[in-house]
Amino acid sequence: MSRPLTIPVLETDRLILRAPDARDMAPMIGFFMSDHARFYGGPMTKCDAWYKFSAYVGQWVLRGYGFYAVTLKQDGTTIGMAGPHQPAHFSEPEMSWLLVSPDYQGQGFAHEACVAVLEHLFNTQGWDSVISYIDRDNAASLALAQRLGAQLDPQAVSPLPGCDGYRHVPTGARA
Amino acid sequence: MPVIPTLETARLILRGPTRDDFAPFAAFYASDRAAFVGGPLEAEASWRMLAMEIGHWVLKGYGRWSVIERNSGAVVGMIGPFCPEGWPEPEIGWDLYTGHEGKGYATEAGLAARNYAYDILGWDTAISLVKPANVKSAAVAKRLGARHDGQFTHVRHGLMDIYRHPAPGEVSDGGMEAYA
Repeated sequence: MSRPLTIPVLETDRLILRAPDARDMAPMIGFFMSDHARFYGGPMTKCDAWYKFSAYVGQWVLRGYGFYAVTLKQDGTTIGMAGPHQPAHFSEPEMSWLLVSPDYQGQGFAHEACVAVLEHLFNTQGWDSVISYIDRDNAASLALAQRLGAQLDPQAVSPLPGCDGYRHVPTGARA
Repeated sequence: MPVIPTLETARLILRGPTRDDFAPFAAFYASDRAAFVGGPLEAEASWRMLAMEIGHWVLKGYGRWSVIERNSGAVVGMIGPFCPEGWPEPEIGWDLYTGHEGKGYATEAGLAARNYAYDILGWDTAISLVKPANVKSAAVAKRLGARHDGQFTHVRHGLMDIYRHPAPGEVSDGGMEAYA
């Protein structure tokens, strides 16, 4: 038998972050097919959306880290994903996040999820920093990165066109 | 993440894909031989494809195995039950990497995979999709007893021949030993 990878469950006041699985497929495919996915390579066909989501799921085995499904504690609804992501052409993992629908924006959910993931990476996994590549036109994402305390990293070369790198470090680590 | 079972045949081990498989997987998908299966692909796209193969196990409860040559430990292919978005129905799929053709490995692993699909997954039928010009892959399908059963046009892969395998009751080699 292949050695199973144990993916932690992270809990916040309102959210459960868990390993992505088939329950997240419909909301994620809907997201990638919509205009809301324009900063995530979308909108795309259902076929491309399925392949992209499946690759997000499988990346956990290849890297040992990946996107968590972000779900509402009260009823299990999948509202987005958050976690470190590293395709082949990224020189380091990128802390990324998304909400599957604008219905979930403006309530602090992405912030709450990202805080939980970053705390886990820094405090449990021992990471000393992680980058986020933010599209210069994505004002909402830039605002969240700044609210999370990330700072523009002028050394970072973004593998994604039109993006700048913002670096997160553990609380108290920045001089 | 799923616990992916390991199957053993006379000459091969079928196990869950891992990061160690990326080099041979990407080499195959970068080659012209991958033209029949959606390639050639850049390394970046091959990485996503390999991640997708693992994600398929999570999302569907089955997927393709990395096929290992027992004698050498070499990764010789990616074979198993497969049904990504856009497939007409679940298939037994096989990619045999460069340098490992002509030894019957696709047939041997394909048979183990089909037995698994019938005996463990409970499929009552199985197809394999083959691009019309992929003569060697069609030959594998025929060696496994599959018969041409129409065509199908996929949004990414274009026109493909459908080969339908013998039903579970028609397969003489029950093959429990394949994954005992």
